[in-house]
Amino acid sequence: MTPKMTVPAPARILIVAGLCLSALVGLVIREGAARADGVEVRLPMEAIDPRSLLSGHYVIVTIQERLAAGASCPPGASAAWDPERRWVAIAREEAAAGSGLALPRGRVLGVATTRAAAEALLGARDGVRVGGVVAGGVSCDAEAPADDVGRAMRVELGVDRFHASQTEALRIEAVLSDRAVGGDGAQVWAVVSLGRDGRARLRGLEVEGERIDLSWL
Amino acid sequence: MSRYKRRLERDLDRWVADGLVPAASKSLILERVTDQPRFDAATALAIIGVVFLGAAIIAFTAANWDGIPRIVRFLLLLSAFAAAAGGAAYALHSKRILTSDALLTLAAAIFAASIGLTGQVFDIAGDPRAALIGAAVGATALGLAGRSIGAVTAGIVFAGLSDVTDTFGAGLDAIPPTVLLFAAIGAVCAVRWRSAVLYHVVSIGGLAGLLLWILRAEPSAAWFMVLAMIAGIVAAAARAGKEGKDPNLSIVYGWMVWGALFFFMLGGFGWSGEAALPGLLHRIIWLGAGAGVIALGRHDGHALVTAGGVLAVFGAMAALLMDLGLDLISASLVFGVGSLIALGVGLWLRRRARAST
Repeated sequence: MTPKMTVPAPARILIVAGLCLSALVGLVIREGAARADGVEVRLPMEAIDPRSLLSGHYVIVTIQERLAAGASCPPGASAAWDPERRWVAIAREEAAAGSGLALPRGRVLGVATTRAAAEALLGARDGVRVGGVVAGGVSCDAEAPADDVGRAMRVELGVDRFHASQTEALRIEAVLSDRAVGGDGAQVWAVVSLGRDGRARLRGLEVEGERIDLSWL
Repeated sequence: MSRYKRRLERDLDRWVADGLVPAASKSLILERVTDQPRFDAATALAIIGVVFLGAAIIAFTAANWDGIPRIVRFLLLLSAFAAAAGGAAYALHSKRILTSDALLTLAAAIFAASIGLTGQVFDIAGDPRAALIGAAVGATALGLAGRSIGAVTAGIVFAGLSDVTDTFGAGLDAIPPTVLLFAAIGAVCAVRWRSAVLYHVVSIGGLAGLLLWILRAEPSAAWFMVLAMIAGIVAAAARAGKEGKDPNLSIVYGWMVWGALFFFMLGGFGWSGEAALPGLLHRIIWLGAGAGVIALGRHDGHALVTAGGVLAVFGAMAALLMDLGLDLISASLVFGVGSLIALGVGLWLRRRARAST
């Protein structure tokens, strides 16, 4: 009878630990590659600066903007917040000359229940698709406000927080508290990568023209 | 040497001196008593120390210091995990079972925290449910590799948390809660390792999983009654089996009695607009079941079963008084009849016991 081959328990622990470590490193590398590979746009945001004992300092990213007075909501946007995930088509608009902004702006074109329908909303310019389709949702005021301001629109892309140092978090909070709801005049922008896998990933923030990037260092 | 073995040694010395036991038998008897690893105050403090160390590492990494680059924080997490797992492997190699178990539990906790903190450090947006399931998989794998009760327990807890994180998410009503799968793995470990702790954890995890499953699907009084019956049948089977090869089935017996009474209680309320039994009838059966369980618990000398019965009686009485409102005549009638039945059955049992002696 051949003796049964067994791996000793200490070796088993080391093998499993190695697999766990590989999984974590793989996750970071895969996410980093997907972030770098996506279409980069700027989206106007609101933020507050919370702190938690085990999470440190972070800025809650709320992508929200005030549409131009009289402008209607993008097609497919819900009137109230709807937790059901849909597909959001976001166009990449080059910044106007002389605006001082280098990074293209993201403009929500519409929301659809299927990815193919959202791709159709995005369309193509000169045969090239400009922008991206990512999972998320959009809520927008059904009724136009009585005064001469546009509807408020909130975009949920699964990008909800930006971890920052205490100094940076406090500076972002101060900048945001000094201004009204986002729009083209926004001073704080979320820099988002629209991934080919249909996920949006945060690349960083742009605060008063200064870019704070997520990096390995 | 375990406390029991020390006491036995003292007793044997006395019995040998009194001539009750031959001196030659002493060492043979003591050899038959296996030395289980002791869970004494020092061990408990060591485990608490390990838990605090884990919390300290997590808080230090999460502190998001300006001075620590992201990559260093990530490497710190990986190093802490590798150190805990490596320490556990070394402790097991040196036959330090409890230390290995504690370090593997710590490694499971650090791995869970690492998933969340890696997401934070690199701002990876993700599904919290998937992160907790990943933590559960890691903890269970570590537990199975190193035969760690603590890590397998951590796996069941993380799986339960993943179910609670998004209990009513889209499409979840069609699939059983994750905790049931991890509880099933834990049950196999409990039987093979003869671990009383795992019997407790698996029983509670299983009951919680069944409750979540019903809540996610269409909760109805009839389904809770079915669950109460299933738990009752499992309790009866465990009660019958506890005298056999596996005395730990006594733990399953206790928790399943709690589960049966709990599900029966939930079955008495109008889920989806309709109760399975008329209100008063449900409360009376609940009261009777509670009293019966107290008697059963006392008969079997099982504190957990008795406690479940006491809780059921209090719950049923409170529910009955709420139902009847100010109708104190009806309340006194129900409690009076209940009292007569309890006294009558008690007297009958006492007489039967006397007759048999």
